[in-house]
Amino acid sequence: MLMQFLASGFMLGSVYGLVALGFAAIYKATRVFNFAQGMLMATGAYLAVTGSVVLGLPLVGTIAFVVVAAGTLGVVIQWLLIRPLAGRPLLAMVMITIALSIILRALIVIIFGGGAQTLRLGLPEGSFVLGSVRISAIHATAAGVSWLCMALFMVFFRFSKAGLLMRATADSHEAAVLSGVNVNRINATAWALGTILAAIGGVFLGQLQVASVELENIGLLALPAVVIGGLQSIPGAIIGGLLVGLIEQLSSGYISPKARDIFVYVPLLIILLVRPWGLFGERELGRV
Amino acid sequence: MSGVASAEAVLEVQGVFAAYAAKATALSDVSLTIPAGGMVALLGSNGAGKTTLIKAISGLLPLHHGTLVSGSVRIAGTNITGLRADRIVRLGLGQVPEGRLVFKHLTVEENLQVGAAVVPRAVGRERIAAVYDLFPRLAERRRQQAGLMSGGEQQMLALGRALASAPRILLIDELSLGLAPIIVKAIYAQLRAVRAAFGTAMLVVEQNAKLALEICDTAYVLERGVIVMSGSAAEVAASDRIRESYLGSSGGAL
Repeated sequence: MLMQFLASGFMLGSVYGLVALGFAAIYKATRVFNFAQGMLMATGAYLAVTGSVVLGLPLVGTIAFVVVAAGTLGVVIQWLLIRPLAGRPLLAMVMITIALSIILRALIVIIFGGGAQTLRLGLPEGSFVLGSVRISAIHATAAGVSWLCMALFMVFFRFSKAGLLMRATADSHEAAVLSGVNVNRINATAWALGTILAAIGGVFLGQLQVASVELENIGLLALPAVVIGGLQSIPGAIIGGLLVGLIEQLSSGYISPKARDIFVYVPLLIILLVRPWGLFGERELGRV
Repeated sequence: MSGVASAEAVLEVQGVFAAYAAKATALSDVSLTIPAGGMVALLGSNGAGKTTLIKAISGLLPLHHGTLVSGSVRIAGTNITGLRADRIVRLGLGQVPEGRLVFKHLTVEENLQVGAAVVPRAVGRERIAAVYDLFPRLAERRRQQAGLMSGGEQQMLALGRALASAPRILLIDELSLGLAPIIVKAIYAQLRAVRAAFGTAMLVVEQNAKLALEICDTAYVLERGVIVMSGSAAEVAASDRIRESYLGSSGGAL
């Protein structure tokens, strides 16, 4: 059983890692602790419903629709809500993202109704056996695509010019401005990417379960994931996501599905108490 | 006079008044002109308004809750008053800020690449090579994380990053702060080499008046937000007021 739990934990954790990576990208570039990340993930599932059911697009078209729509949503959020509040206290930013999350939920309920929607994208179904472990094709696809997206993001972040400017802005906002970096554009890019990553995670979780606003609760697991991994660390977010997936599967497998939250949030508390910069984050060198 | 000066001036500050939200006027009718390739010192004690003037030029006042109340700033004839700070950099203003402000988590090479991001790729590559020639120390450490270098090396890097953007004029704010005198001398000597190589004009803000007057052609003295004296570096260095207030008794050795 252990191997089975570990395998499904790894696969779910890969999707959590993807959503957490989106959260970390936004936090790193703009210093906004985005409580709406869970709802952005749920929004991704509904964008997929819109693409496949409402617009009747094929799989590739639906994916393209989700990516473009989520990216646009991220830019609009940054433009309308985050940018005008630049320089305001942390509390204002946090309240904005909570309000955003509530508004998105209300919009989804108004447009799609409160009930859950089934999402069938035509991804490979069925399952296969690997050693002693049975793996569902959808879980394997979700994990594979998540890792592909994470790899693409890492390549972008490490090696592209926009990625370099994003890292520079994350390092010192003022130095970036003084070097001629258009910080607003960088922040918009970060929000677009963070929203796209959340939405892709939402597409898969909507497929594994159903598309519902309650997906938000799963998306919010990105928060303990990044805090455990280290808010400042991109690889830390991915590893944090994997850990949360493993903890979830092991605790629901051996104890009870209800035990998940305890075993995810207790480590969060312990980390905050003894190592607030996370497992892989760096202690701040000084005040920014 | 102003017509001729405008055509040649790379930086022209005219009648600038600036204020902070809570405080009285921080700058009062400040004007200064830097000719192409000129090296100009801006002297003044703590709180005289030097940093406010720098921020008024670079467009950073709003970020520090200040306002440019009236007056204008031009770079090579283009009015930059009220433009966003990053746009001003693109128009040719290179900045070496107080406290260096390098990107601590990026490598030396990446810091320079960020500086060069505002110019075409080929120009940037050429500029970065030139920076490595001027500061071989940076070339040796190109893969090192900037935050792990010494203060002097970080200062070289901040200067190099600004140079990588191929600026028409460099604003250099308190370069000597917190550095050993021997390192400061070495970096200042390189400023002359920079001018010789690229013809870059410079506005050098310094508390260490002796140093600044040694390398600059002309100087302005700012006191309580007002320009109280300007002239050639030699004239300013010879004035009693400067000898007493800024150069101390050793000023006579200039």
